[in-house]
Amino acid sequence: MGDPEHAEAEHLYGDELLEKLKYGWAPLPNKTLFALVLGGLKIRMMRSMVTMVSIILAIAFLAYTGLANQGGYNLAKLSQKLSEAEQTKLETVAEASEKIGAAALVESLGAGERKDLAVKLGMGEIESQQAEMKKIAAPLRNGKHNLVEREKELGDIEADPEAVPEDLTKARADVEDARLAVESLGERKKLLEEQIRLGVWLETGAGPAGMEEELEGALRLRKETLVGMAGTPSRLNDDGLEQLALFLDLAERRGGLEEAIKVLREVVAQEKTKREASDLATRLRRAGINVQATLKGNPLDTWLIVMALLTCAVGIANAMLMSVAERFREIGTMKCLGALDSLVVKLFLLESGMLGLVGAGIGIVLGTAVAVAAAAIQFGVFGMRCFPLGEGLKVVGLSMLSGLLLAVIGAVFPALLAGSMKPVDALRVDE
Amino acid sequence: MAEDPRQQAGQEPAPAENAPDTEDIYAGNALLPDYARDRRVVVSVRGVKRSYAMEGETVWALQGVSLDVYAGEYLSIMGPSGSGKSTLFNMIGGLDKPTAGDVKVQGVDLGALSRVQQARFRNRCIGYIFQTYNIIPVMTALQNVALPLLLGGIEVEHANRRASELLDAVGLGDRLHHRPDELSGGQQQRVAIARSFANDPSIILADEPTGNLDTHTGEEIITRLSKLSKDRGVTIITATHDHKMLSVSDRVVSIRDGKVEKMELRSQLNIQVGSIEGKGERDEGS
Repeated sequence: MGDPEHAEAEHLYGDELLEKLKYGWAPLPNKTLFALVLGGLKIRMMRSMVTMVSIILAIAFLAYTGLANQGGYNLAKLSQKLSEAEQTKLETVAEASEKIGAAALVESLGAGERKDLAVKLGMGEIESQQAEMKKIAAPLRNGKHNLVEREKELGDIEADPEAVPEDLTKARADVEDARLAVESLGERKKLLEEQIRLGVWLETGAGPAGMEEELEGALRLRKETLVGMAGTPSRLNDDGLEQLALFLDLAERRGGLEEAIKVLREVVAQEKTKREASDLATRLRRAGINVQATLKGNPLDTWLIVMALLTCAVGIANAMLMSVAERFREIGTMKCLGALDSLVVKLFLLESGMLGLVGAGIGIVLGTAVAVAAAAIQFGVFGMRCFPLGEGLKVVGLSMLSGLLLAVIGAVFPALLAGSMKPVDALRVDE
Repeated sequence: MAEDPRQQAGQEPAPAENAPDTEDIYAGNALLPDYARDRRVVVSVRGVKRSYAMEGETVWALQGVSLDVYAGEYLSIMGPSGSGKSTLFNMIGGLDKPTAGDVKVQGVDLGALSRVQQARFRNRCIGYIFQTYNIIPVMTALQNVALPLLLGGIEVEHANRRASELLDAVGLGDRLHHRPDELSGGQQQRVAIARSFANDPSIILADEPTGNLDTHTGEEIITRLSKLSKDRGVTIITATHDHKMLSVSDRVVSIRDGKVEKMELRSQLNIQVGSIEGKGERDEGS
């Protein structure tokens, strides 16, 4: 009917009994312990949920701030690095430009290669030119008409014996102006026609004779323009930079221009870096991050985090105190059944610890997600490049630990309170 | 009255130092029960006083109570609210320490033990039944009854087996895995009874066990408790208002104003539902 050892205890009295009572004890099996803890959490689901939400929020804040801070620091460092990039000397650039400009790059290409190059350079796309052609028709016509009128006027004034010399001068000036206007429009029209003709020929192969030479001419011109602007690369747009790089590739293939190519490639790279730096600086400014201040370190964030954690801990302590107060009958019963004070303390700490672990886990996921999203939205590619990985893991680990500590520290006082309760206090039933 | 099984096992009768001081306790119109001669004194209460400080005044809940409880007997402590009945009860169960006097259970002065020793003593030697059942709501009936065994260092398999035996004995063999919220009041109290017998204690303290139950269920509980105790030779001490308890009690101790008013044997009681007349004044129950 029972453990024979225990049956004997009944028959013992006094000191013999006390002696016997020293033996045969074992700690509560873990399965039972966890059944009690998990059951306790489940039955007070509402309160557990609320406590856990406060842990989740505090830890999410911690994780987010940690990651955002570290990311911000990385971005600031990058920004500084980019803006301190070297600049090649102007004379060196000019020299290199001349060399490459003089080289017969385009000429050494075969017909098919030239067409490919032209397409890569965007010469096959003529929509904007066609649109401009349409727009230019009317002004050109008006201009011609205007010229005719002015010439007629000049003729009239020349034939007039009473004409004043100023009138004559003015009339001649008007004619000049009109002619220049027509000329410039005409030239523009001619250029557009050339480009369109070229584009059509590239696409369809249809066109008048001599297109090969035209293409060669156009390519050579483009090359000279681009290489010429290498000294002031800021005037090139992004497409222009890419096209310059294309020509440099070409030059490489031809060989013999290694030094010059290296210089110009450096120029291109430096310009790209400058543009990146500017982009990053703009984003940083919009995000309100001051590079110098960030690099020096910001104590305000640490303070914020500490406050958030403290508030959370207090909330947990409150929730646990309520839990203890509600369960005084249960605690008293456990003690009557023979539970040691330390077991009661352990139960409450475990309960809170579980909430802390799970809450911290969820909080970390939440905080990291927000940090990643913010980095992507605010800083795009830079954000991803600068996202802290190594330090990020440290932040995650720290957050996990914090969540656990938070929950346990918050529960320490209530748990000790429960442990020190006397069974009679816990079971006070009205007389 | 059933024979004390320990008698059959050949235990010697109460050693000299446990013999009641007849003059002290039984002065007045109380009678020494005839089984007092052959049985050990399992609980001895001597001159116990208990005071509380309330609003600057000292209130004496117990003003000098002396009592012997004999092994295997069914003792009821009766008394109106405020009489000190519960306080005395708590003393015997080791839940409270007297301001003066001492309480010895199985010869051990509970007040002199450390908290760890107290916990261990409670686990092995005392069973508790409460008015509010006090079974753990997050555990099944089986887990509840097994809990004191597990706390006592019994390994899980054995504990579960013994727990289901006990639940069988109270008629809940088919509800081992029910949770308290799936059990009626009477059933919960039966789980509590089974739990109290778990570690084979020498005494079981039942504080108003039928207080929250209707008449019929209450009777059932009392019958079961009494039968179990007789079968296993466990001393039962109850604190109660319930007069149904009297028909199974060997002795009834009446407490009033912190003192023992009288002690009566069952044979002396004239029991009717709702009222009791014995020697002396009419008892004012609940």
